[in-house]
Amino acid sequence: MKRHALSAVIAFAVVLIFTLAAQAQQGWPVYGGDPGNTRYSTLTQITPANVKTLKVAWVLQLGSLRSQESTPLVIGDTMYVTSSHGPKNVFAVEAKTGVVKWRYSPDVPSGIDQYACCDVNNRGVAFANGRVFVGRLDGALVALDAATGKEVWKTQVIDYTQGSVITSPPTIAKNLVVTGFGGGEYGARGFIVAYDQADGKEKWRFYTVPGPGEPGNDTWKGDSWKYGGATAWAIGSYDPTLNLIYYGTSNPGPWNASVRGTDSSNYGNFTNLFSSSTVAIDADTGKLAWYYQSTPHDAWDYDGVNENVLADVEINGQKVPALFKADRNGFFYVLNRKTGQLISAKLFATANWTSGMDMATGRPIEVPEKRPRVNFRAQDVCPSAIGNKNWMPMSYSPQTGLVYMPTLNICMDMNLAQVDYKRGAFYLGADFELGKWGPGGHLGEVIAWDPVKQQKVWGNTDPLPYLGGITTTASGLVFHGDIHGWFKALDAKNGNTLWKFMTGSGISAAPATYSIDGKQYVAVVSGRTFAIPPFFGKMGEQMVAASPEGGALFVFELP
Amino acid sequence: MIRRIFRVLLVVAALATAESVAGAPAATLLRLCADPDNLPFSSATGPERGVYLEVGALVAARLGMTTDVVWWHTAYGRRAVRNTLLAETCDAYVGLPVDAGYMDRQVSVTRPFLGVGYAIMTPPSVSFARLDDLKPHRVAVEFRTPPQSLLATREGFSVSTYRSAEDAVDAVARKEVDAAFVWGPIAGHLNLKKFASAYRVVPVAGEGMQFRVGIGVRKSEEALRRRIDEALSQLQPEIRRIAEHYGFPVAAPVDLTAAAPPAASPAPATSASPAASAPAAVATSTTPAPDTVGAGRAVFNQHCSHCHSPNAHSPEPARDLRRLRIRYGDRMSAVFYETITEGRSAKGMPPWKEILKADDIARILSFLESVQSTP
Repeated sequence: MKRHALSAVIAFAVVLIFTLAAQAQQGWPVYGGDPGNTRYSTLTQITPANVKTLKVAWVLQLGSLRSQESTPLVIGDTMYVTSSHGPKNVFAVEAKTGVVKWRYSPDVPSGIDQYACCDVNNRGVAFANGRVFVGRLDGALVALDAATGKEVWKTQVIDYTQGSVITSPPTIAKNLVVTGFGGGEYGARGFIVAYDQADGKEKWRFYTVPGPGEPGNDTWKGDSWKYGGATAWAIGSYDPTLNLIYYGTSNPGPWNASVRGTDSSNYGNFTNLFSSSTVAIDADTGKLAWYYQSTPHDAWDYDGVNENVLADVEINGQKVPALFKADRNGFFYVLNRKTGQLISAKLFATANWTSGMDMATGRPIEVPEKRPRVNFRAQDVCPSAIGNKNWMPMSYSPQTGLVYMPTLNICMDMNLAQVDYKRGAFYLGADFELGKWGPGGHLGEVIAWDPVKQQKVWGNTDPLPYLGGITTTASGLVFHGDIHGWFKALDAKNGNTLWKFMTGSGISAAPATYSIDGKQYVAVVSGRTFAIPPFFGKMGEQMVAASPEGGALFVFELP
Repeated sequence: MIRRIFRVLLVVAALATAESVAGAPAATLLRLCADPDNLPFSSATGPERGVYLEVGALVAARLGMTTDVVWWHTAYGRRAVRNTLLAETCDAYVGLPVDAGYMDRQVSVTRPFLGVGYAIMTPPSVSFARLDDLKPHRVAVEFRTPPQSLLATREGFSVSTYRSAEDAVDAVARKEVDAAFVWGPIAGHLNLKKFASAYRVVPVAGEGMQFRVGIGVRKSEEALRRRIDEALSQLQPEIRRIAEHYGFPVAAPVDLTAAAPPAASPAPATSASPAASAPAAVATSTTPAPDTVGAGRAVFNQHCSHCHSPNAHSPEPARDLRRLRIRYGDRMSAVFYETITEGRSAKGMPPWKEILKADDIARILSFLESVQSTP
């Protein structure tokens, strides 16, 4: 009896401790901060007034150089972060101190970087029910025991030797772990696939290019659907209320549009669904709920993969379940995420391939001489193939009602001449010039964008591109890095730089912020992009010169 | 930079040792850059070495040089050239395009020694003189190739797309299609080795269809380029024999896209009998005796442990030789022999064939087999 009473007291104390801990702790449970990818934190300890005193709390060397793109997760008192190259390492560390708890270093095949088109990056892990899920360059998805780092199961999603690699964390929905993969140009037929978190068994698979007999298959000429690309290589979103999973899809393959359709602005029915689109998938069935195609019959490499940010906003006096996407093609899209209905679309940076949106059809109005064709070199097309915004994620702050995003101001000359791989004969001159300076002479700009009014509020330009992913806080701060290696805190109201810290290598990754024992931390990974600059000629030389390669996680705190 | 210096030191050390042991001066070595998995052009695993490697060895022999091979996949061609030839880990790239614009700020390419290009493979029952003659037939093309583009812009063809040329050729054999319009060297090689020359392989002329290849060296190595050029000019008959030995279609390409039918009738595919070429080192599968293992450990610890750790207990996964079985499975011994003899200069592993005796290499393998981790 006495013992029972003691147990009860202990139990009460434990509950009390956990309750207090819950109040003092706020993690970063998923890549985008929440399943809707707002990258907005309600933490307010670090403020515009005290941010100038931020200092380094600890540093973790990631063990690989170049192209670090990971956003760390923080679950309880543990942080999970990946390095590039496989990932070469997944670390579990004490989020307060940086002391490593375990490290998972998968045996990724040597020579893997010879298959990854666009570098050996990794953007981080997903977490659910005591498991850490990692997508790997070698096309495998693994589940790790979050306490030990031991592999619980491993499944092969795709054959990497086709040029299909996994670089993004999977999406968690109920008991499922959902992933896509890359390789839009190399002969993949894209799909999004869901596995049971418990055992890795496949539950459903949604092909992003419809097969014969399925709606949309007739948007592909001949049998081009077989290798149509439309891969979902970036970050997914999930709305638990609607039970819908959202993914953006890549450009269609091959680049030569005459294989897929008309190779002209009069593409007719050959829109090549569901390439360069957003797809909404029912999480229980894997069936398509709706789609919206941003770039029909793509010829510019305008992937539609950029993250879909889910937020409820008031438009014309009505509360709308909205979805925001800042597409590579230059349009900022606001859709109704329940129905897929296009609410508005406006250009957020310099784009001249289109003269605007036809709201009746939901299709951009093309400028025909800016469409690259097989025997036609389109000149000074803006944006370039990497778009007005690339994968570096934006943030939506419900506090200011603004979206903060890293944008690009790069143009190109391009045609769809043969650049095909021929065994034993190599590529002959790829006929594009991807690195032309856009108007104004800057290459990057962080902008604050009003998604309801569809207009820019402020912008900070940079001579170089890739301004790093963005995270915002309820205290009115905007955090992002740049290719020079600066990590900055901006005033959300006007973009003024309130604090900056030199990390020593370029930053592309998006930060995370979390709180443990009542103390707020900000974490960001530094390590300059490596394989992308060689595509850009002189511009690329400047990007390489901006900072050396690196690979370190920095965590900041107030004194 | 430090890694680069380290690598240079390793190579220098290896060469210095090689010189003292075998008396081979460094200048007699021609390091060839090649794709390890790219038959019929080059292969690291054998038994066929591939046309480009054989041509490279032929040229080197003519110049009085021995060869090493530095492997790099060529799925991204320029990346391969940057990481091998331009990184100075090898000296000569066999098979670079003879094209005024090809990386010409950094690379100098010799005269062409071979033409390679697209070809149409058909059973003898399918005859054609013009491309349009294929309209009643089902034609296989490879994804993302000029034939795919060509047929996509012409009306009336029944086209099936395949991910690889091999798949397209197999589709002909399975009678899924009547013709395959694919990369000629692959069609020719498969036709010879797999189908006993049952099909015709006709090279096709036209824009983007045929390419001439030469041997590339660094721009700064003009003297070497001139020497190779001269050797190539003397070796054309031998090179043609090598190409025929691999089944390359060597007839003049036929212009099938011209309006009028060409006068020339397609040449039949060559039917050279596949002679057995020199097999690569093959490991014995007998269980090693414990004393062999012990001797292997001693040799390993003497020569290999400064990079791969004493007793192969490496903490660095990339250098952990206890994972060879996990990594390479049944290919473990083949990969082992290839790596230890030829080296992997891109990773700082020097070639050991001039330094270690063959039976010592076999003992090291026995030792390593005794310490493999289980998956």
